[in-house]
Amino acid sequence: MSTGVKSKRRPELDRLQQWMQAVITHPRGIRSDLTSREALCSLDADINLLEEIILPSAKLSGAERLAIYCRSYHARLLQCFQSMFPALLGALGEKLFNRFALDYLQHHPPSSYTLDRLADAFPQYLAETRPDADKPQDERECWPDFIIELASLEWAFLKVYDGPGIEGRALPRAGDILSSAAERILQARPSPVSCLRLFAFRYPVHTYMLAARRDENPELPAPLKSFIAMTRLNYRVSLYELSATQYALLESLDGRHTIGQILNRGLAADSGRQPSATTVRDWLCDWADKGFFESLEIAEGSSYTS
Amino acid sequence: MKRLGLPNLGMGVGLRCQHFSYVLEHWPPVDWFEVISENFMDSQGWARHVLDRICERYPIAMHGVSLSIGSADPLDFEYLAKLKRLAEVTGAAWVSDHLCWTGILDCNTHDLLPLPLNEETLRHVVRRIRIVQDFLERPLVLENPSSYLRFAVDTLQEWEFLAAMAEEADCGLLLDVNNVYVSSVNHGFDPVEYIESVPAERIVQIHLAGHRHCGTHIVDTHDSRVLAQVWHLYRLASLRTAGVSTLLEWDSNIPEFPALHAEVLKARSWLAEQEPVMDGRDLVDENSAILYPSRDSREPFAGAHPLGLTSPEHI
Repeated sequence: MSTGVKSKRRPELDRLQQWMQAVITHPRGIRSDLTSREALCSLDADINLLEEIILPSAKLSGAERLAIYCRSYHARLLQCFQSMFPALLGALGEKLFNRFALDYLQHHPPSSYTLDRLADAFPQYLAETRPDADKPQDERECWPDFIIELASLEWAFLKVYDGPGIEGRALPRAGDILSSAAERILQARPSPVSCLRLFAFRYPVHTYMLAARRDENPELPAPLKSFIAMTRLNYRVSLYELSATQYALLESLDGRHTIGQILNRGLAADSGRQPSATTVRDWLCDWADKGFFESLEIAEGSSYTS
Repeated sequence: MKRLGLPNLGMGVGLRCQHFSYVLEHWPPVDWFEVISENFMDSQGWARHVLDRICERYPIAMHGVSLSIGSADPLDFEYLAKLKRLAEVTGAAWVSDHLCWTGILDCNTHDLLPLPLNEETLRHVVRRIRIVQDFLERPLVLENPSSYLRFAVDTLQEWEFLAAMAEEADCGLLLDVNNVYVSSVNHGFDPVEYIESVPAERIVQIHLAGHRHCGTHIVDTHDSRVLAQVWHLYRLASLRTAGVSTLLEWDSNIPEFPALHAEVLKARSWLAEQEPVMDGRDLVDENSAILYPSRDSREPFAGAHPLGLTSPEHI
């Protein structure tokens, strides 16, 4: 029955687990952790000798055995990050990418039962920790925007891919719209599907991401204002470029206001000239066929003058 | 053999996203699939769609990695509710996880961490298994993990712990014969004694997988074929159980589906006591199989294993 191990002081299970977790998750590796504040806090102060807690094997010391878990923890999570952000990995290079990921993990250790939430706060973390975060917007450098936007797009892609979709549902199609006069379409209250995401970027990160995922080793792009729609249809995630006006219109759709009401209210100031009713109808036809809308309720009594 | 009334499903493989398209196109004659619970419990996308279709044609069992049955943290009932729901809608033959802890203080390391094997831990784990089984309204099946360390406070051998746990909690066992072999080398015990000591009537399922020898220890990598020593342990375990559901795990360097399926079907030859024709990759030479020196930065880690992400196949 007995392993022949001498009876030692017995840290309770929770304190032992707190200590082990503090040690194996520490970014600087096992040696520095043996005396780390987090690790020692979880054990009695006089139980800080690792060899009193972990038995050696025939070939490894207790510290070396524990180090296997330490390396494994970091390697596994880095591998997950790399698989979730392949384009960002290519843009930053492995060394810098890993630094960002490990830094994030120290501040946001994984807590969910699923790895799918591992990087929930990663794009936000990159934004908050950019080197010029404390400077006014117009004094900031551009390249952090590219990194943050690329991370945001790759993360959104995963969320849309595995999140709620519209497969199996009957969606409005272009034909439903074409059968109505343009003016009538202005009375529609399009309701976007839950998997539609809209982005306004300072860089064309969508073209970079797609090229990187095709292993084309793209060059880092120059700044170029980009408006993107992302959605999923038949389990396939697609990206579409938009004009500033299209972006502003789609961004305004809430299923409550008609298109006419939205246009009368005026789109965002920098979104360009207000579109005509015919133009809007053409856009709606295109977007409907791409699966942007859950419904296209037509209301009575709305009007719009372009 | 009782096996908690659970069926022998035959020879199955772990369902991985790399094989989704192949399975949907070819509907291969595999006996059953095991799925990683956490990869599907929240999915509302392609992965879940594939699982729903596969459930219509094959028996499945659910294998989890985040139950953390040995953690000192409270049980996560939101997680358990999702686990139960997934088991119900998929008609899973059983639900399994590991004898381990994965984190504490609301952290999940996503690793299968070893428990101190003593009476205190045994009481703790048995109490929690009973709670989980009551909640799930079905027996829980727990797997022996591979491990790389033992604690000074251990007073029980792993097989002693498993036997007492299964009896006192009235749960099932998933015997991973590769893990038995890995841990036997890492801790210096006799793997045959281990297999012969685990209560055979509690074994619901057997896992097979590949591993890597790092010179000073073995890592459970799930990245290669099953090695001869493990097949011998499998045959021994199968004799003791009189045949039990068998599952091959392969989580890194994943081969094409036919090669994966062929690997698990080797079990039939081993059960017939006809060792299949093997090439050098199936054999372990303790000297030549030292793939990486210890402390080498290239040391493989315990797993892409069973924590693989469901990667997008479409864009």
